[in-house]
Amino acid sequence: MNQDKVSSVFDFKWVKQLRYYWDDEIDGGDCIIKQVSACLRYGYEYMGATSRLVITPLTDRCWITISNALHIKLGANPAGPAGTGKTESTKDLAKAIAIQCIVFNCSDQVDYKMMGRLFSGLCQQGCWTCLDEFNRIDIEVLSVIAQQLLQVRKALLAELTQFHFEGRDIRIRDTFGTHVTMNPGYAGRTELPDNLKVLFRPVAMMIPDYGLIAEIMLFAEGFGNAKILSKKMVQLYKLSSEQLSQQDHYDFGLRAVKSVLVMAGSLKRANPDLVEDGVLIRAMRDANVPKFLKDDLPLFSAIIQDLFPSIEITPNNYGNLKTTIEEIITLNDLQVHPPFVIKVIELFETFNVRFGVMLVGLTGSGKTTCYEVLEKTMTTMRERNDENQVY
Amino acid sequence: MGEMYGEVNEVSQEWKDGLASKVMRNAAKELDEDRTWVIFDGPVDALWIENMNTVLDDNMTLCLANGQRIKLRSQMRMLFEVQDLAVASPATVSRCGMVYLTEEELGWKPYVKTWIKVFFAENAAMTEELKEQLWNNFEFTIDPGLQFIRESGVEPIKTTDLQ
Repeated sequence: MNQDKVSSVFDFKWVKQLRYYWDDEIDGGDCIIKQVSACLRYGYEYMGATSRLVITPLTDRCWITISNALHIKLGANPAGPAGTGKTESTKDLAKAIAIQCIVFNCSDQVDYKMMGRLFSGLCQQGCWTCLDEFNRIDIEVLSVIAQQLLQVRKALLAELTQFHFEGRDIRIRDTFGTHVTMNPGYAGRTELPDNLKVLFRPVAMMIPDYGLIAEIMLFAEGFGNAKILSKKMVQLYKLSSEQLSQQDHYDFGLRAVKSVLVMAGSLKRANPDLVEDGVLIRAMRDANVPKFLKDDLPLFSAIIQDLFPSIEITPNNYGNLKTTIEEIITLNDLQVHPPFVIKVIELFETFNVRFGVMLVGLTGSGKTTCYEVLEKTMTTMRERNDENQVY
Repeated sequence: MGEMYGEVNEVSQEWKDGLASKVMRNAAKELDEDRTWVIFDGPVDALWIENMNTVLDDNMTLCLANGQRIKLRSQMRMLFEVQDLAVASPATVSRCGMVYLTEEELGWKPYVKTWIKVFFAENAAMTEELKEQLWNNFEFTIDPGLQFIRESGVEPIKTTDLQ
């Protein structure tokens, strides 16, 4: 703080932080949270011991917008491309001030009645809601939603405890908040009408701070020299997105980075004696190689070689898994074809780190067979009481 | 869309579950620790897969149009089988892990081998030697043949080696 020349409590660098105070004057004492000019009450909602986000300047900016929008009873509207942490930032702020946040994924089937029900529930509970991909809702429905939100806002401004909403008198709590996230410019998205725009404070979230996030997450996963590794990793992703061929299914966004970091963490804990560089390289290879076309593989290995010159990349040893897969393939009167076996293993690895997986390939490239073989293999290994619980 | 995720019946104003929501609801109801895979076969379209967005990221909830939210178990996995992702939005692509299967890697040979093995399995007249001979004939003719067609002929419809 001294380096940043923060000397008074009114300095912006201090004021912009999320600060917790105990205030005796509000009915018997209560915890309040201040950020810039905003002043919110602590929500006392227990969320469990969950992991939190890495705080970057971008999250800070998003939080300032949200908290100050709430202060004047508006909502916030983080907008930007996929995987920049719009929803996660909102959820994390809700965690920070201990308020439940309902994430709802909007679609074009959503109608005004359903939204009315959602809002009335939220008003009564005083929860936040984060409406994901808000601009997928039809424009006719959006204008009704604007009306509903305006009603709620009027009630909040008048500090009512009861108000008339959608034909019913309902209770309202002042912790209510609505936030919408959207990706402008994607297929099937509409522009928000002006009367809705004024109810939300916009905040642009374009490029997340990959370096900082990677560094802190690597430290959190137990890596020693995370600073250098994170720099190299970010560089690798940048080079890959620039040099490899352009494919629809290639993605080097934040989610990809995060899955690599989680993978690296579990690898590190499984083999604590390995060199850290090696662990990270293995994680990056395991996470990325499955999706590459054949022509891009040499390019990717070349990039890895350039960034980690002295590291020998050892081929992975799958032991039991590989032999069982080959067994299953023969049992089903199919041919043991080494590249195919590798694909099955890659599918298994991807399943371990991701919730949703896509098998991409032309007709007849063996997509169905690939997952069927893996399914049978995993069942067989489970029945054989393999010591490894992942099967 | 209504068949997939469910819709409100206009006449009776009742909610009727769709295919996907039903499958997921049943899968989410199971209490044991078994792994469950939900497999979607067929082309991905931005229209229906966008509804999966909250399913595929950390929230793991399926949001239906009537405001219901189905919380899925962490043992569940979604698998999509698609030919390409030309119409999927980046929001979906970034949420999924990808495994790309190249047809050059597989080629036509494993198919023929399996065919020889299965088709003549019951046939006693087909000795190992004859099978070997048949396989050699395949190997001898197909690759140069395909090469010839592609170099000096015209393919009205583009084909890959496999077809």
